[in-house]
Amino acid sequence: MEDRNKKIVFGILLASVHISLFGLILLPSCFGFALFYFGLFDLEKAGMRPLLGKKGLRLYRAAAAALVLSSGFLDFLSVFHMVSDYEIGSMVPLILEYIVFYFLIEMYTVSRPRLTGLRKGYTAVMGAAVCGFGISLIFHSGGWQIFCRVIILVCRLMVLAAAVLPSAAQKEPEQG
Amino acid sequence: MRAERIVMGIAVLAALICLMTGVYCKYRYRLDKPVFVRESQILSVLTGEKENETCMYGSVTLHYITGKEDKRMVRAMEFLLPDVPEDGSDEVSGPPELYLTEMQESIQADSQYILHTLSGTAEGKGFEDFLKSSACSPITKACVTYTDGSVSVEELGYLMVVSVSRSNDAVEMLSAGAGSEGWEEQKMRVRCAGTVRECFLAASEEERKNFAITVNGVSLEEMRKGDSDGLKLQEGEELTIRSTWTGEYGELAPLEYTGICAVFEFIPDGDAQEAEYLYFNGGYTRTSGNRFVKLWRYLKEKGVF
Repeated sequence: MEDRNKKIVFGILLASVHISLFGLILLPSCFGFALFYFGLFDLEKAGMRPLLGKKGLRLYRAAAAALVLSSGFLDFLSVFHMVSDYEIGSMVPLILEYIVFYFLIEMYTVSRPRLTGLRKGYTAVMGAAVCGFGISLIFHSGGWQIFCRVIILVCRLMVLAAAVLPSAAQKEPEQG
Repeated sequence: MRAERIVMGIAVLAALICLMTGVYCKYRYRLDKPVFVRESQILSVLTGEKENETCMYGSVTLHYITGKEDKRMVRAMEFLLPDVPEDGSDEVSGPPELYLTEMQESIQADSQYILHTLSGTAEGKGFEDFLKSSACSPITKACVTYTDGSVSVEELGYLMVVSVSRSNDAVEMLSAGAGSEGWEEQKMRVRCAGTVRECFLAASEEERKNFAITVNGVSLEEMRKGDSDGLKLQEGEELTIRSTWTGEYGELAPLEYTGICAVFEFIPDGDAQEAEYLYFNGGYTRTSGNRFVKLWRYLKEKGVF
C-alpha cells in the first residue's frame, strides 16, 4: 500500500467499524471520515486530483467536508438521543459518501486502468444500495435497511481495494 | 466514464427524492393522539367476592397505536357500558361499573408508530342485571385516562361481556376446533327442538367481509334473506357454527390476530324455556406483511391524519 493512501484506507476502515458501549458510540464514523478527508489532501499533494474542473474540485472538497460534518452532527445528536429520525438523517452522509467515493475511484482508474470494472461495479451497486436504502426508509422495512447497509459495506471494500491495489508504475518494477 | 457519472447522478437524484419523500411522509402522517384498534372479542367474566361485595372480573387485551414521540400510556380505563353517558365526566357514575385493573403494557416500535398491547383485568360490580339484559349490546367505548392527565373517550370495537357461569340448558357443547388456514368451528347438540337466529355480529361492514360465517352450512346472508324465522333444529340435532377467513379487507388489520364475534339466539319451541344466547368467536392469525404499512393503512382508513 502506498503511503499517500494510508489515511484513505484507515479512514474508511474506521468509518465502517462501529464500537458502542451501552448505547454510547465510542468510535463515531465521523472520525473515520475526518481521517479520510485529510487523506484526500495527501493525495492532492502527491498530484492526484479528481477529474473535475476548478469549480468541481471546490465542490468535491466541500462535499467531503460536508460528509465529515453531517456524520459528526448525526453521531453527536444520537449520543444524546436527540435525533428521532436517525434513519432518515443518515441518508445525507450516505449520498455524500457515494459522490465522494465515486470520484475517488475515478481518480484511481486514471493511473490504474484495470480498475475500470471496479469503478463501474461501484457506481451501479452503490447507486442501487443508496436508492434501496432510501426506499426502505419510506416503507420502514428493517430487513431491507440491514441488507442495503451490508451492500454499502461491500461497496466500501471496493473503494478499499482500489486504494490498496498497487498502481501500474509500482507493479512493473516488482515484476521486473 | 461519462455514462457512469450519469448513472451516479440519477442514483443521487433518486436517493434525494426518497429522502424528501421520507421527510414528507414523516410529518404528513404524524399521529397526534393515541388510536385504539377496533377489536371484536368476548370478555368472559367470573363472579367473585371483593370487600364483601359481589364483583365480576375477566381478563382482556386491547391494542392502541401512538406516535413515536408520544410518551403517553394508559393510566386508567373505565368501560362505558351501553346507555351510559359518553362524555367521560362525573356523570359516568353509579352502577354498573367496569374498570380495567392490574394493567400490563408492552410496546412494539414500528418506525414512527408504536403499537401498545394493553392487558389487564376488567373488574366491575353491579352489572348482573346488565349481563341478563345486554346479550347483544357490546361495550364499544371506554373513558381512558392517560399518564399525562388527559382524558378521552375511545372507540374500542366490540367487547361482548359474557358470564362464564351462564347456563346453557338447551344446547350442549360437543367440540371446538380451528385450522391454520383460517377456520374456526364450534359444534353443539341441541337438547330440544327450536330455532337459531342471528342476534348480533360484532364487526363493522368492512370487517365482516373478512369472514364467512355459516350455521350448519347456511351462510348468514342466506339466513337473513329468508322470512327471518331462522334455522329450525330438531331435538338431538347437531349445530355447527363455522367461520372461514376470506381476507377481503384483512390487509387493513394492523394486528396479527383478527377476530370476529357473533351472537346467536336459540329459541326453544313452546313457551316452557327461555331463549338462550350462543356466543361464537372466530379468528385468523397471519404474520406476513410489513407491519408499518399495515398500521399506516389502518390509520389512514380511520381518517386520523
